[in-house]
Amino acid sequence: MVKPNNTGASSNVELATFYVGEALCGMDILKVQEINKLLEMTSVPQAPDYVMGILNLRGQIVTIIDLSKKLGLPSTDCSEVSRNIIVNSQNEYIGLMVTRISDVVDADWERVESPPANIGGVQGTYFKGVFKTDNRLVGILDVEKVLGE
Amino acid sequence: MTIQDDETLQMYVEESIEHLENIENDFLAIEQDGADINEDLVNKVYRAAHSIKGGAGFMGLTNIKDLTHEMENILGKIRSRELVPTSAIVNSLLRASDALKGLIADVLKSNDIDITVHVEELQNVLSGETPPANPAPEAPSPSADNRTGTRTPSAPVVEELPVVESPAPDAGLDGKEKVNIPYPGSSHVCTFDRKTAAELFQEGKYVYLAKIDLLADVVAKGKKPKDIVEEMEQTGSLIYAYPDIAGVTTKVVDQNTQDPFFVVFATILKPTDINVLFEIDEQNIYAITENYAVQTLSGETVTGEKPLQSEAATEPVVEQLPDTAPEPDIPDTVEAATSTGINEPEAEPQEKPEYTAAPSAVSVELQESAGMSPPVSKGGKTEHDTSLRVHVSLLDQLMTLAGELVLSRNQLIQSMSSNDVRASEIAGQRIDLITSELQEAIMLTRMQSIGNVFNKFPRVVRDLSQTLGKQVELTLEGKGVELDKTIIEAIGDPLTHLVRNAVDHGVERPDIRRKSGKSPVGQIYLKAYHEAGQVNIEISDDGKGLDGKQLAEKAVEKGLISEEEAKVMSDKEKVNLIFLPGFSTADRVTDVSGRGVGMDVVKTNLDKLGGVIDIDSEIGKGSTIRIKLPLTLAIIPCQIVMTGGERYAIPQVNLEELLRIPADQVKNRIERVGNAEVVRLRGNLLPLVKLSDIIGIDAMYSDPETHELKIDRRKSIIDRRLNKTEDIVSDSDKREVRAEDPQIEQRTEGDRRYHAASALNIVVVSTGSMKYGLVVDELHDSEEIVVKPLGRHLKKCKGYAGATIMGDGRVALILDVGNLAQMAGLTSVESALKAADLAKKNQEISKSIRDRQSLLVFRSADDEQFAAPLNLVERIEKIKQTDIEYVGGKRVIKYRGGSLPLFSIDEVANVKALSENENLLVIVFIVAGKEVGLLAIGPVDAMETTLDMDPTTLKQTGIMGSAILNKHTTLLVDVFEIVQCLNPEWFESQEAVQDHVGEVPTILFAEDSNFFRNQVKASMVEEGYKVIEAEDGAVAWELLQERGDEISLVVTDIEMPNINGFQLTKMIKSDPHFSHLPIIALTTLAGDEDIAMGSKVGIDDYQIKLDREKLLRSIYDFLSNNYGKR
Repeated sequence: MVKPNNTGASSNVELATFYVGEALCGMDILKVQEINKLLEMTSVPQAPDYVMGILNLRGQIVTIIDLSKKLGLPSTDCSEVSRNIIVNSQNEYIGLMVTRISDVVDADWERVESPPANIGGVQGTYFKGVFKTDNRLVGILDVEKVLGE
Repeated sequence: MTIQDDETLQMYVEESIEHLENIENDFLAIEQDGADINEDLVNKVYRAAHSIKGGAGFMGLTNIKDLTHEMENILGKIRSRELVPTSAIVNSLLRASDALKGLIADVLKSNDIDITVHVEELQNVLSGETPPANPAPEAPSPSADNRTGTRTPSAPVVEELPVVESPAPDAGLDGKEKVNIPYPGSSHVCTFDRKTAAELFQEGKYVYLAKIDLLADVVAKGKKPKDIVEEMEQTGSLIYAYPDIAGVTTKVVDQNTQDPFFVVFATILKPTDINVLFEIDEQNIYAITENYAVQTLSGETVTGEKPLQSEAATEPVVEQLPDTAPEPDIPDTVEAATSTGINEPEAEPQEKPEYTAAPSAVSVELQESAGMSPPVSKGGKTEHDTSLRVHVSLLDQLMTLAGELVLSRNQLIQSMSSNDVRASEIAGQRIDLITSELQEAIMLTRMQSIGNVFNKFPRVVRDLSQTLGKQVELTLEGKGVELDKTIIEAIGDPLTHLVRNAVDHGVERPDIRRKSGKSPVGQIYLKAYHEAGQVNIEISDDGKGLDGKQLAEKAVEKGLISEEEAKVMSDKEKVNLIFLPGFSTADRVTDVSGRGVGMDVVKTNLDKLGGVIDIDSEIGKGSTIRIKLPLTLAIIPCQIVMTGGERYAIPQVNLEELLRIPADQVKNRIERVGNAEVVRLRGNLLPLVKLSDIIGIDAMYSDPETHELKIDRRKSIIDRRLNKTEDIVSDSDKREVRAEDPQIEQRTEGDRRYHAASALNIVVVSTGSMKYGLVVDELHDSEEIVVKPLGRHLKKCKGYAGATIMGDGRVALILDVGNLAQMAGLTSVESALKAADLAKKNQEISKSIRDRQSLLVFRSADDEQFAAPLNLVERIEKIKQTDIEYVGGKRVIKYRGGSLPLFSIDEVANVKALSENENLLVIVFIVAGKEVGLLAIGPVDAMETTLDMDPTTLKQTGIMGSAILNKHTTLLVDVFEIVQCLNPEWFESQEAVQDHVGEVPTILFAEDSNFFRNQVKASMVEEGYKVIEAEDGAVAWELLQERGDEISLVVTDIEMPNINGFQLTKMIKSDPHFSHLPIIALTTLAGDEDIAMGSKVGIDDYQIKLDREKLLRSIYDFLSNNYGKR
């Protein structure tokens, strides 16, 4: 929806965090349209392997992407706790399947550090940066980059 | 002047575009009329130009104003017959209107665009004739005469009211003075500056005279006098007010206020719209014309003449109604529609406005739609789709439906909360009904007539044909056919391309046309019509047509198809090659087409719209291009199918038919050609593709007992296992099944394949010239679906055209049939088909070619048909019965100085006697080195046929056997035997068999056809040779191994199963034991290639199968040579 103003140096940002495999990732919460449970998906034969299928979200066709697979990890095992994070990217709804949802974290952009080459087996280029909370490390995903080809 | 607010500008732009759209075709019509001017038409264009100019002046669009001014000047001259509209003049006008379109399309920047070229051009046109005497076309006096002349036919109802008062300009006509106009029915006289007024008129404004009752019209409506003055100043200019503005705005209005407020007000608003501003009793507003006559708003003159402007901007059709209803403005946008009520009182002021609005508007619209264009699509804003004109009645209908929908919803909610199932059902049905009606109505609002696209073609064709020096007549048909707005917008370019192509490549130049006996004027038909829920557009020309052969060559040259592919293509397919990407037909690049964007772009564009394009062409006669388009893109009817447990939608446009092959017929109906599976459908082979294979999923079947979905293990449609005999199948199959899946072990009886559930469901689909069968697991219903686009990550999946949401909320993919075919490798299905067919034929031919024989069919008596091998026939002569001489008990005929002995079949064989016809045929053969003639009668026919010869049933002397040819039992004549019978002495010299070595030479004879084997063997045996027979090359080779020593010569057929004649020869010649053996090959027809091939492998001689004599001579020669060597 609204483009997060994450270039502003002083601004705080709320991060929706979630697990992709074992890696804790986060994204600007303003990017998130909604988070829902697994819906009935229609598989799309011949689609790229990271596309899990498409589903009907109130009349909109949403492509569900296996975030783990997209990031080069083994595919997500769908379980009770796995969720779809629906994001709006380039005027199109896309669902990101994640292993499980975690908290919302308040992050200060000034404390965000540039990402290392590799976070939990995921290439660093997919991240905008890393944010250290008290006990954890959150990799902030660059959603547009992840959703790029 | 500066540009006014956006809304006014937008209104102006839309109106101007409308005018311009009509202008173009009118120009063309004017050109056609030539000197015989249709004044109505010229006036119409004139008025259109004038309206545009007027608005432009008001908006401060100087460029547009200047340009239209020049156009107007020319049109004025045409109208007054000072100028004959030649092509050149119309060209200039058209160019100007093009430029004008450009200006209006980019109206805000229009003043920065340089238009001097056009203005100069127009001025030149004008000055080319007598210099214009300051053509102020909007001056009332010169046009007045014409106007009265033209108005009468179109506006019979508008009658001028008796003149109440004449306009009273104060003093002279130089315009410096004041104008005094008395307010009708009152003593008040309004006075304003004449020059100011003239300027305003010049700008295209309307001037109104209004009497505002400050109490009733202003204060009672909750406004202040100040407001109304401000409003007026915003929309136009106040040139006269009484009491003066300062007085009015400060005046305290109370019950005692009696004085009315008189204003003279100039604005761009038309008489039909002016009351939107004033909101007063319409009777109190009058329009002042350019010659200062006073009119009511409905156009009735109170004083003076009928004005120019009030009518100028409106369509002539409007005048057909007595009240000059505000036709073009009522069905404007939705918002505009609401304001119509306010306009209405001008027609019948006494009635309630709201209720008179709709009917009168509708009647105007109906009349108009009957006349020219359909109601909804009046605007035709292909460039500006920000607003759309919708018919009021349609809006009413939508409103009603929306109301009903709400009611039904209430009903449904109520019944649901009270758990009343029956009531919910009823409500559900109602909603279903209303929804479809609503859908239809909403669709209608998007419908536009294809005329919007078609109308630009006369110009395109005219310009193009002029440039190319061709004469083309364009006929348009079905302009009223309506299509969805988006489709209308999108087909413009492809259609233009096709029409241009037709002119450029299709229609020939007049001289060439004359030479080929056609009228020099080429015809292009553009036709649109509805068929089967789709819109069909046909573009046909009577030009040179497309040369399929040439196209195929070009495609091969460009590497688009292979030569093999080209060979098996039908003419239609070849013509359709033009749609291949990278194909352009123009030999040279012309200005017109052949710029690299070819028909493939057209096809791609149409594909995107879900359209289908097809081309039919006949060389020298012309081509016809057919386009099928869906009515709308958003909602399309689809066939729902199921494969691999998922549903897929196939657009009905692509659907040809559904085919279900029962399980027990699968094996008979489905054939395998190479790797492809095909089904025979009404005599044609249809390639089959499994949907599951293309998209790479597992086909599923529903277990007939448990109704579980299981993976279908059949890899090919005709299960290999079916080839085994019946009882083995069930047994071995069961074992196999068990081995594969122990869970279904319990199913012991019956094979799934024979269950109804395993019937083959085929969706026969087509895209253009391609047609194939898509094998799916299940066929479901046909449904109307709403097309939704797929996300960007799925754009690469070419097999889908989108997705849709099914009734249960799940998503189903829409299949793109054309791309699926490509994915399956069926680039051109027909050719693949043909290839398959050809392969099949080849197989059959290779089976039968050995038996193929060219025969000469003739008769001896009328009802008895004979045949003789064509390659034995030397020639055929026609003779008269009377020419036959009987010499020495024999019939002869003089021929080239000699005598040709004649015989007839009945002399030897027991057949009907030779017909007594006066005219006879003599078929000349050479037997034993002599020419002989066989007497026969017609009809004679040569045919190549598979000799399915019966060598026994009808065998007798002179007759080898019989066969069915052309449905007649035909006797095959043994010419040698006949001649031998009749003239045994001719053959005596040959009877010596080469037994001088003391043994009878043995010949190995390989021939797979029984008939020929027997025939040839018999003749060899008769000659005294020993013959070893072999059915094919392989047998011959074996025999040769076993009895090689005995054999002194090999006679072999070429076409044989297993090992053919060439291979056999090669083997023999490369084996040192046998390489000395002479080999004679027998063929039915020896082609040069065969002979070359034969001599390469070592065949010593070629002989024709049934030419016994030559064969024997050849055998004799080889044997004597060989024996001589021994």
